[in-house]
Amino acid sequence: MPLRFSFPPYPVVGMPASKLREYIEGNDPVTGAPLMREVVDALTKPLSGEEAKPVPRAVPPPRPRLLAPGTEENLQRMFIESGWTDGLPIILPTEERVAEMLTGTSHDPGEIVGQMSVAHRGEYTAYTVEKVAINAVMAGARPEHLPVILAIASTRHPAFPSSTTSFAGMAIINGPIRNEIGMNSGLGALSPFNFANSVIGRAWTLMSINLGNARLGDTFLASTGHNLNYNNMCCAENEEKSVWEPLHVQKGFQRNESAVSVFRGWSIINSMGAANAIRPAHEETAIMLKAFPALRSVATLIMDPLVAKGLKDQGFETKQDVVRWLSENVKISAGQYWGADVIYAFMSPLAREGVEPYATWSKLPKDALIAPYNDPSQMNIVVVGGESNPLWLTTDFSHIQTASVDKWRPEGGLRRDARPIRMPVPPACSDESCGLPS
Amino acid sequence: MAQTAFHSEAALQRSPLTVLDPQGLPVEPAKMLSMAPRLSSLEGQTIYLVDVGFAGGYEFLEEMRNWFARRMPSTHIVLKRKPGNMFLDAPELWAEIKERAGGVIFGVGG
Repeated sequence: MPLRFSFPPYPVVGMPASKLREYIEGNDPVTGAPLMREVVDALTKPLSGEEAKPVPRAVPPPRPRLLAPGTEENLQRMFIESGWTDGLPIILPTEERVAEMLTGTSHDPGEIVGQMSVAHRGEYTAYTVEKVAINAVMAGARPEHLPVILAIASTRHPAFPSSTTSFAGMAIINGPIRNEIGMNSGLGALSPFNFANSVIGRAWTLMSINLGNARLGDTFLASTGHNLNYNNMCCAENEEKSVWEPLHVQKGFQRNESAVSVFRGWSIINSMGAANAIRPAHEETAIMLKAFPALRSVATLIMDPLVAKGLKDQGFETKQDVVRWLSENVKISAGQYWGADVIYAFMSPLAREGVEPYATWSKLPKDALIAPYNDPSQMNIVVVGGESNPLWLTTDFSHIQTASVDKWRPEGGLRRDARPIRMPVPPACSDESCGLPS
Repeated sequence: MAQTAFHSEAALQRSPLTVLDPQGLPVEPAKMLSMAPRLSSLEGQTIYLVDVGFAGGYEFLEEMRNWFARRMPSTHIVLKRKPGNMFLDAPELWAEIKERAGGVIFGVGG
């Protein structure tokens, strides 16, 4: 419906009362008119005809499926200048290439996969299997990758929902598909040295732009933006080297099923130093987790298999044992907790409504210690890495959803090229130990 | 530029290509509702100021309440925090405003 808006100078957060009073007494920076005159007018000025009886908005006519023909150079320019790419050249989605991509699934090209919007509660756009295939082509993917890309699309979650806080996404792939399409879960899995990891992650970016309708300054307003938006930490879990249950099994899938788990967050701290050099990994992680606001108790650890093995040797039989220990032992002051903007926004309302433990925490003195990761079910561990050193990443990422990849596989088996594209792989040791302790 | 199984580099440069639109499909737009009738003046009216929950919003609206007290003292201002976070509906508060207020100001967007 039509609304009447006025704009104070922004931001208002952290401003002293005297500054806020200046804003109130001053002008709307957008219109230049006195702010409070606008506000009073908004409440008292008679409605326009459009405001009293808005014209129903019609569904926009469908755009043509095909764009006007052009040369390679002109079309590359048009895609970039239209805001349909990540700023890098793309593979142009010709009819032949998209048709070939669609051999990567048995689903009908016209089947609706979902709706997406980078703007929370914004206007969504719908997308079909063919639209996903178009973006997959643009990302440089091959048909063998399409089931994973469709699985990501089926979650309906953009990799970077619009927030001034600049979100990042993460996609973790589990199950047999990882090795079938040559994904990297080992050495440098999060670095740009694997074709499947790269094109699948990029496809999520392009889908977020084109299917999630991301337009900078309009629907997308991340203040600094986030460099992870280019690839979204797309990799596979190193199930072969992990001593624990794979992520997708924790989320309800069978070990022999393939699935993609999508995450969302903001921040990553690299351990930088090795576990057990002086402190064990769980104690070091507890220190790092204190740097995050602990919003809704979420955290995700991405750890080299050596870290997992070390923790298991120290008595943590499962991933759940680790997060339970962290939940009980990470302590910060109530003042630190309530001083975080996101805690103010999302947890203060719960405290005011009497929801525990937030209601109690809100009444504590600022220096009282609380255990803010109070719900270990919101904490996840993913085992990734090449066992070159017991290192890990501590993040504030939350698990959003785990979706089936197998649902999107083509009948008759994965559609692989006669000679699938694979980047160089690191040399393996004959006994797979590389001289490292098992 | 990429080379694929279908086009040689030279052919790509020579002949026009036809490509597909990568954008999503429009869906049914949100239903448009009429705005509530406006007040003839704020004299003697009750106006709710509702903080939607972004940090700094409540303090801003406190100053707006002070402005009304200074400039339009006959207007009765009720300052409220919206229950839940900024993304959640609050039907009980909406019902209260409908029953008790002549108007409402929401703020401040984040």
